[in-house]
Order: sequence, then C-alpha cells, then structure tokens
Amino acid sequence: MLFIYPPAEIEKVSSRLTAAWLFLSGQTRTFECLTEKTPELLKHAEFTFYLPFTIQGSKRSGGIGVLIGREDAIQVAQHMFGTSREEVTQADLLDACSEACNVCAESIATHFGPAHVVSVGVPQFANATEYEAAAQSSLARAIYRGAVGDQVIYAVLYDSPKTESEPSSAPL
Amino acid sequence: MTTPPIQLSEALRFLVVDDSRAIQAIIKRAIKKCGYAPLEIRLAINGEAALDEIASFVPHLVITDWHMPKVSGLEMVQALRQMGHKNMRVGFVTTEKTPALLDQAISNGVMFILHKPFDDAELVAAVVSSIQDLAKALIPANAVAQKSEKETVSESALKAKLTEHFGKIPFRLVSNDPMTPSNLTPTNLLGLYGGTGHKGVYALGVMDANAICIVGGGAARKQPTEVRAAMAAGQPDATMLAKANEFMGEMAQCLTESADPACTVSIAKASVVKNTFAKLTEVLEQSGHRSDFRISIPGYGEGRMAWFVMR
Repeated sequence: MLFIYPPAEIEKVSSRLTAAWLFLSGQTRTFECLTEKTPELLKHAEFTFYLPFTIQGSKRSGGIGVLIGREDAIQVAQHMFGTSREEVTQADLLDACSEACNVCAESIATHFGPAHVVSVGVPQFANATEYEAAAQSSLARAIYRGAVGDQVIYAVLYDSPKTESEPSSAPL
Repeated sequence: MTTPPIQLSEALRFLVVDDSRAIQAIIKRAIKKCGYAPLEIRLAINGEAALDEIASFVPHLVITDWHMPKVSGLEMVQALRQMGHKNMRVGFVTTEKTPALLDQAISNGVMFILHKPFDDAELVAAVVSSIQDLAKALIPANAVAQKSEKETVSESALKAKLTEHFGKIPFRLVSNDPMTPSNLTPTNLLGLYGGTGHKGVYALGVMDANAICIVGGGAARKQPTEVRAAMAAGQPDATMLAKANEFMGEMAQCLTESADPACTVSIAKASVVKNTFAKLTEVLEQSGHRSDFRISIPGYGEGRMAWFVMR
C-alpha cells in the first residue's frame, strides 16, 4: 500500500481536488487515490510542475507533482483567461498550469491533518529529466488521478526518504 | 438580463497583484461584475511592482496574492502601512492557510482573505462588500435610486451592528445565500422577536453553530484557534454563546428599522435549538420577508444567519 492517510483524509483530498479542478477548468472531474504502486503511470506529462513543501516542526519534507496533458492544459487556460482555444498561447498554458499546480497542491497539503502546518513553495516547471530526478529521489506516498476518457491528471505527493528519527510508517 | 452598472461620479480604482496572469484575469472579471462603473483596474506582477504602482495610482482596493517572488503579499501590506497608507483597503486571494500568517494579515487590517479555490460569486461578493460604502459616496445625488422594497434586515444595518461587536476585526458578509434545512448545523441559536401592535411572534432570527462561534468569538476577541476548535466540535463555549445571545437581542434594532413606523421590535427569547425543531424547518422554507447572510472572519471560518418576518 502506498498511502499514508487514513481513509477519511483521502476522501477529503479527493473532494478538494474535484473542487479545485472545477475552479481551474470549469469542469467536474472525480479524483481517486490509487492504492497500488504504479510508477509506470507517472510518466512525465507536457505540463508537469513540482512544488516543494516542508512540515513545520518535522524533519520531513517533500514535494507535490502535478502532471497535466495538453488538452487539459488548454481547457484550464481557456477557462481561467476566458479566451477561445485559438487565442491561447504557450505562455498562457504554462501560466495556467503553474497556478493549477498551486491550487492542487494546497488541496493535498492542507490534509496532513490539523496537527501539521505545511509550508508550500512556488510551483516550478519540470522537464522530463528534472521531474524524473525529483521523483526518483523521493517516495511516492499518494497518487491522485482524475480522468475523463484519455485526459488524465495526476497529483502526486512525494515524501523525502525516511530518516533515523522518523520512520516512514509514522503518520505525517 | 444583466442589470446595468450604477454610474459613479468618478472611477473606482482597483489594483490586482498576482504573479499568475490567469488569476489576474479571474480577479479582473470579478471586479467587472461589481455593479459599478466606471472602473479603473491596474495589474502588478508582485508586491514590489504593486508598491511602485500604488505611489501614483492610489487604488480604492488592492486585491493581492500571498506567495509572490521579490515582495510577498503580506510584506507588501506591511510596507503599505509603513508608508502611511493606513486605511488603504486590501484583500487576499490565496492558498495560504497558516493561522499565524493569517493572523498577521488580520492585524494589518485586511478586508478579506479568500482561499482558492473559490466561487466567482464569492469573490464578487467580497469585492462589493469591500467597496460598497465608497461607491455609494460616489453616486451622484440626482441618481440615487428609490428602494422599492424594504429588506427584513439590511446589509448595512447588520454590518454596523457587527462592527459594534467586532471593533477593528475584519469580517465579510455575503447576502442572499439562503439558509436551508440542509445547510443548517445540528445546533442553532433561535431568537424570537415581538413587535408592538403585533400578536404573537413578529420575527425570528437563526444563527447556526458556526455563526454563534464567529459572532460570539469575535465579540469576545477569542483566538482563531479557539473559535476553529469550537466550530469543529459544533459547540460554542459559554462566552461565545452569551455574546451571540446579546447580539441576537440587539438585532431587534435592525428589525425595527424595516418595520412599520409604529412598530418597535424587541427580543422575547433566545434559545439553542436542534436542527430538527419543526418550527425552524418551516420558517427556513419561507420565501420572501427574509434576509440571509453568510458571515466570515479571516482565520475563524464561515457561518450562516438569517432573520424572518412572520406573515
């Protein structure tokens, strides 16, 4: 099993991601938490952003990756900028997906539970090499997937490798 | 059909500060729905650029993100205050939820903190609520519209009453989002009002458990952590309840303002009731002769309250 959340938190995160996606794209999409380790699913997407986080009072840190394909990116940019598909530029796509990462990350990060204060950083665009490096030096702790047909978004919570003082089985 | 905007004698000035052009676009659209014209909207990509802009532009309202390169939203507000813009209105649109940081924003006098994701309507309501009084002052005297129907409780009267209780604590009201049996909390404060010349109950007020915690907690200057804990438990403490009771009683003045000239409204009784209380369900389904509000204080959360004139 991958995830570290109690089931109630998974439901909260999924529901918040659905609300976030509605805000970002104007579309309803259900998010589910994958329960099996499926790294082959986490191939780099054209609009992949990575956002680091730290947990106050803990040695643990990590990151949140948001992987968005082109069609979803166009939908998000159209919705947020209020423009037509033809008017959307590459810069618009990057800007909108960066914000999508920010909002999705908040959905995940705020559900470590009330006892944890999570500080999130600024979303950074990651090319395939950069994302692979970040992902391989971390542990994928929870993978949320929102899919409609072929269009799939992944929001992945990565944890830093376990430390001596805090075994990986401890709840974050 | 869209209501035409109210024409003002001079433009309302807004400054939108966000490093995301996409969020700038969303905020800009919300501002344009505020119901007033003309509007002048300028954009800044971070706090530093905003401070440069403010020096010459002097906006009526600054709407800013929190996390931005160079100068953050909070640093910008702190700098603004130090520069002498003590009363410049500022609202945050952010994902930041760290209580200690939100408290810093509140202590710097921000008007609202809206968390992403949000409904467009929430942002429009926050904008309107922040600039309404300024806009009213800019309506030409010959264009003041006559109100066709009296509200059960006007937003301005409620706002004034809450300000008496909250002092400088910033709060936000959203009108016309009806309280319904389905969005009621398990326990609620019910106020029964009598009116001179009226037999039986003249009006009824309802505050859900969250509103009791917010109004009572705000009036008692409770820490956000205390209020949030009480809201999470659905259980306001004795002080919150006492303050909320006091507020419910004082709302009689607001109800009197909308009543017939010969009618003075006074509180008869206020008590905590379960959401299963039959009279409550009945009154929540009443259409017309009611005023519904959502209230929030940054760092506390949001609650609902409503007043109904019995027919």
